[in-house]
Amino acid sequence: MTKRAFLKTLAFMTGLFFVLEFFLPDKVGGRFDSYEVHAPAPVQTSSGTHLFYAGSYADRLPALGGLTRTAPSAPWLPLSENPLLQRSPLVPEDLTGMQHLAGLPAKGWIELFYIGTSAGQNTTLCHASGSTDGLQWYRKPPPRFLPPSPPLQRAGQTHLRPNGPLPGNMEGFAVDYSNDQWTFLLLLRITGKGLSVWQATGRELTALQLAETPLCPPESIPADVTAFDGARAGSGWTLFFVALNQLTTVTIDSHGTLTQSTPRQLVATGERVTAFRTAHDGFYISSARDRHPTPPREFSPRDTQLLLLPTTEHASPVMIHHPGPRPTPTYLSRGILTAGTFLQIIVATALLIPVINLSLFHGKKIARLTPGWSMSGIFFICLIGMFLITLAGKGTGTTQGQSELWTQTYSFLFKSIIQPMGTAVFSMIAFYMVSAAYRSFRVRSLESILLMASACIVMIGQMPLGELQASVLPDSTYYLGLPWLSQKLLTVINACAYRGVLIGLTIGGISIAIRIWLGLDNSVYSGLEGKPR
Amino acid sequence: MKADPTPGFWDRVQHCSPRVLYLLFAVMMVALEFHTVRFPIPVPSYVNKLYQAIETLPPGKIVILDSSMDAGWYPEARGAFEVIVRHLFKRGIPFAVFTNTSFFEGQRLGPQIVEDVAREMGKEYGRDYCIWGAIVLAQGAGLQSLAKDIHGQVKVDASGRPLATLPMMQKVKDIQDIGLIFSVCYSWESVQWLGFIRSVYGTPYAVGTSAISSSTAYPYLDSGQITGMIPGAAGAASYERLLKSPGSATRIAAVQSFAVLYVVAAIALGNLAMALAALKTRREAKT
Repeated sequence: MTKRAFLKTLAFMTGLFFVLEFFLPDKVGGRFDSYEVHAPAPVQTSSGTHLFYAGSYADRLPALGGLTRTAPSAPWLPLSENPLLQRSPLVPEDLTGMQHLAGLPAKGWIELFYIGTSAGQNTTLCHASGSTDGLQWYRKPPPRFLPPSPPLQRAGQTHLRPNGPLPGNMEGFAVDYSNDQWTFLLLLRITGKGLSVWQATGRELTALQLAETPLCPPESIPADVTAFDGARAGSGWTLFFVALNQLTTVTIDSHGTLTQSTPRQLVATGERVTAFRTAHDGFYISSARDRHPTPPREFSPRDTQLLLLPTTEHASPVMIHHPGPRPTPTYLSRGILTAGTFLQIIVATALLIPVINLSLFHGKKIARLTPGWSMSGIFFICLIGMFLITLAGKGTGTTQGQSELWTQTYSFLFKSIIQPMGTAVFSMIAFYMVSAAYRSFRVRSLESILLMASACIVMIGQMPLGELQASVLPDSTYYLGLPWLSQKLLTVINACAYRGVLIGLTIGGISIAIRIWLGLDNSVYSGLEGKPR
Repeated sequence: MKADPTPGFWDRVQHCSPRVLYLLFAVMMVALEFHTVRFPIPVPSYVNKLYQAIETLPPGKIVILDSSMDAGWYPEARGAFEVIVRHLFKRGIPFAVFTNTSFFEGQRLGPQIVEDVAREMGKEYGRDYCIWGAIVLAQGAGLQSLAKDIHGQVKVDASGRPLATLPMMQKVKDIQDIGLIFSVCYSWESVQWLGFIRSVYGTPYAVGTSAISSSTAYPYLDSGQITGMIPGAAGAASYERLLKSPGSATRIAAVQSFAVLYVVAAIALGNLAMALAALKTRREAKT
């Protein structure tokens, strides 16, 4: 095999690996909930109890699953082997996560609410309606909360999202439907104030009125809350806060008096509760425990399960469901680190090539004592000297170099010589520009007038000087301001033209890249066979 | 034989020695160093978007600062890098400084800025920030593996300390734990964050680049692929205004304004001299 053929084969195999790793999934097969299960949501129906949960196939690939049982002593059976509700590219709110599910029967349907996480990591309270058998599901618009009047101004930064202007980020919720009225308890984290519970009520999910003050202030909420639920207690509420594996109950009576209970451990030490819902037969929780050693990246680093904890004190939790059959890894992603390291070594070696070339060139000059060989000597002094001083004196972060003298020498050479020299060379461009602007930029045609005018408008419009010009204009003539004109030139005319150029460049780049990858382009391998004798 | 016509005043003006221009320019720049002029600083929408993106970063995520700058445009790059570092420190968002090996000067310039600001604001290495050092990207293939396993690709920080021992990096495993990538780079398109990270994982990506290179970013800003941009010293001055702490970028932007005005005046004067010289020549030819 010739050198050229060997390199072409190597380049093709390396490129093939990266392309396959980019396009193919990490694993194949397995169930939709084979990665993790969490967020149980029990719903009592006429045919029995349904338990909906969020299962994921990979990190941030959630789907809705369901189990059912006809009697408390009956086993839990899956409603369907396939997910009941899946992510959709048309619905961005829950693209990367479904947490804290809660369901209840209402108006002949099962109404399910959950906190969805978008690709941009924004959380939204989402809504879906399902048939009473739990098999048909339809997405609905997110519930919308209306601020109290006057609007919340002192409660922190408002977030304009699909749920409306909430005073903070939603980290949990509870829902109740009675007497044809919806009641939501929202666990919100307000910037600078911490967690608090807010009540919102309304007959329609599109108009839920938020209370003016929190139902439960931050002082009554334990730190590190990982799960939350609430249930009616007469005319008051019982709030359940779970912090890691400890449950704290806060009872609020009709007068608003808060009573906090002693924390109770729900699961074993080392496990943490990730979601919590209360039902008539006990607490439905999902727990997670870190796995040691950490498994390969196709599998979850946590052991998760759905549990039912009877309300009896000191009762043991009963396991309901755990992640489904595991998929088979394609092993492509396991090699990505090795491939990345291989590339790093190749590129690092390639960085030596100009050093070697320069050293050979200047070395020959010194060996032959050609005119100017002293400059080559200075080159070697600078090269080797800077290399040794950098090795001895470079320190970053909290570390220092080998000694204060070396560190100071390195800092002096870099900060006082290399850096100013680089800046000075670039600064000379300003003088050349001035000379070119005065002597060469002549407007002799309509096109050159347009070019020069655009250049001047963009240059001044982007500077504070342009803002000064715009500030003296009346508001009605804003379009004469240089900043406005500059932005229009850049965002409309320039962007369109550059977009066209970019598309052309990219298509050309793709074709060249494919040619090089497939070994059809010999220019990158020129000179391998050496000069003919 | 006809004698050569004596060059008129405007002929002499348009062909004057460039040394005069250089001297006037240099005198103006030096004078502005000693006397700061205040201008109103605008806040373009793309600078404000970046500010809001940092203000609304979800908790538990870190930011990557790509310090791919070089000494040539350091006065512009410094302002863009420093304002983001200050904002992140102010909000308590941990960040990691990363440099592409193609930009060796950035390996020193970026960390230098971070360390100066960290000392001023009392921030701690390993908890509030860390420096990953130089990483080979190999045209994006390195980013592909970095996205899957950060600790596997960046085993140690710039001082040789294992990344897993740094408190801020212990819960950061892959690209999903990164809230924002801010790249300060002259030729920002050469670093493939857009193609390998933003497009695949949706991680927000913002750019700090020179005013000249900023025109290439507008198509991406328009489509939302780039979350925000700080174009040169003027953009950094806008960001300083949002942070309510005017600094070196505000001063540089004011000086740059005069430089731009000088260039525009040179263009105008050169063309005026040419036009008037031509007019005079035509009049003399008629008479």
